[in-house]
Amino acid sequence: MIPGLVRIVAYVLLAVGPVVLAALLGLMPRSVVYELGRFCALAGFALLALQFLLAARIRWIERPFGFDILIRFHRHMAILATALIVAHPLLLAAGGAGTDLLLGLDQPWAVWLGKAALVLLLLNVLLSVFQRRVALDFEHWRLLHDILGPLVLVGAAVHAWAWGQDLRLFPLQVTWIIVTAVALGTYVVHRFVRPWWLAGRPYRVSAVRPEADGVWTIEFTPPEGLPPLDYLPGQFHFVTFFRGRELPVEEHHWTISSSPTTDHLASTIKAVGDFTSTIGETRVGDTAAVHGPFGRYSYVLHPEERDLVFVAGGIGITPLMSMLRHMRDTRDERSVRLVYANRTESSIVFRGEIDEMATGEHPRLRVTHVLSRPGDEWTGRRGHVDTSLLREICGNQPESEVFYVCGPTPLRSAVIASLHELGVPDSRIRIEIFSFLD
Amino acid sequence: MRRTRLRHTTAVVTAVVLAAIGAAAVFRVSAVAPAVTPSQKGARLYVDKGCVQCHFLRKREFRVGPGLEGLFDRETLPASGRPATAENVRSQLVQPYDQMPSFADRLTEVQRDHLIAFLKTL
Repeated sequence: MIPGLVRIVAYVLLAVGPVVLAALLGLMPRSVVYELGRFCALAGFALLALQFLLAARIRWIERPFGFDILIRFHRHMAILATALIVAHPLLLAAGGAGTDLLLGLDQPWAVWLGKAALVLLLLNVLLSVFQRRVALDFEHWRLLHDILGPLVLVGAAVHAWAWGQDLRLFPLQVTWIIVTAVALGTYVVHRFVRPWWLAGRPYRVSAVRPEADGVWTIEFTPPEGLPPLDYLPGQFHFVTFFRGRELPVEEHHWTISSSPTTDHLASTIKAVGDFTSTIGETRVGDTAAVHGPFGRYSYVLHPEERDLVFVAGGIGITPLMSMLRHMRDTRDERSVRLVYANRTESSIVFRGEIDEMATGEHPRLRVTHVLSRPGDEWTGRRGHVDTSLLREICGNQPESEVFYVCGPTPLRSAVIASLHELGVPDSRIRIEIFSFLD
Repeated sequence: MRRTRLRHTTAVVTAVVLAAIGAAAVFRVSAVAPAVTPSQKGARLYVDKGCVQCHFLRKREFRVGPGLEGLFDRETLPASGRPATAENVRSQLVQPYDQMPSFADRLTEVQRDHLIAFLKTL
């Protein structure tokens, strides 16, 4: 709680810092509305610059929140920054600059640059919010985001420097240079320097193992001289495969399905998209840049919780499997009830290992498989995970359990709705929102 | 739980940023002492009438028009090339040289005096 609060306070101070500085330094004001317009620009710019820090996977920032939450905060702040920057010219015009500022063609280059930066900012936000609706795939969206973000920041910085009233004040000029340099420096390190550094120290693929229909486990060993990745069960990492053979080189994030108790690092990946459809073509000896770990989806962060219910859908089993393996290897005596939903029997991932674990004592595991499209020979549960199933699994006191839910969005939403219906508070429901754009 | 905290954090950060912007704007306007002297009134006009959009105050370089630092210390006015006198500045305001818009209808005679008084302080 406290570490997160420290970071939030620091964030707010940085966001409003230029506003406070400009207000205290004083400048001949025009009207309250006009001044609101100026300060909207100062705060909007500071928020835009902070966006680069939020997205750069800086561990000190990420650690108390988890990267999935941090990236959603990044989205929320993008909306706030955009609203402030859109309000900037409107308030200036209403506060005395007149409609010429908005509509006049005879404007200095710095004003046009500001308008261009605003248009690019709106484009960037709209593409991010409606990425799926405009059928923009993740890789192309990220490329556009990586181009538009710095362009907007530089355009806005130069616009303000050349035209902004407050930027005539020396302390604000210094602030502007520092803020812009830190944001762009962070971007360069995040998108170029670190990937280059990681690519120079690649992990080696040590095993490729089919697990179920269209699902493979890829095991990695760290480069010589580097210690194994220090991760918690349930965390994820970013991986860029270098496989040659004209296979794509893209960075994707996957849950770590292995346990930190073993000497290897593994991800279990389902072929669901353009890139992952090639995952089965990965060979032993291929290399990969690994960046991680990230996330806070781990039972070890909550040692006081003893009775857990894991609800997984399809490939969403991977973080839960990492946790179960860790419990097994550390001889943990927690009680875990696993509800695992799949379409068919052949799509159940890790079935043998899960069923074997259920016969042991560590953890005390009970498993319920649920299939939505089972064959005739299936004697287990049929249908979907619903309220009645969860009530049956949890007995009379579902509100006293802690639920870890991971799977596709429809399953996640349905399970959360059912748990709410059963009186389970949000504080006892742990979810991982794995897609950064949802 | 984490999503609830995220929503709360977003709401609090948004509220603080908006409050800071509002407070700063009110503070800046209210902190300015009322204009009493002609040059103070001229300084207010310089901002209110938009001169500030085109002319730097503290340097001589061009923004859209020439910077006005030390305007009356110069031998000639930068646009017209005429001697730097109050009368010629008044004339520039009413019948400007170059691209500058006319302020004949936007400034009263007294306001022009105030503006010139302010320009003499630069």
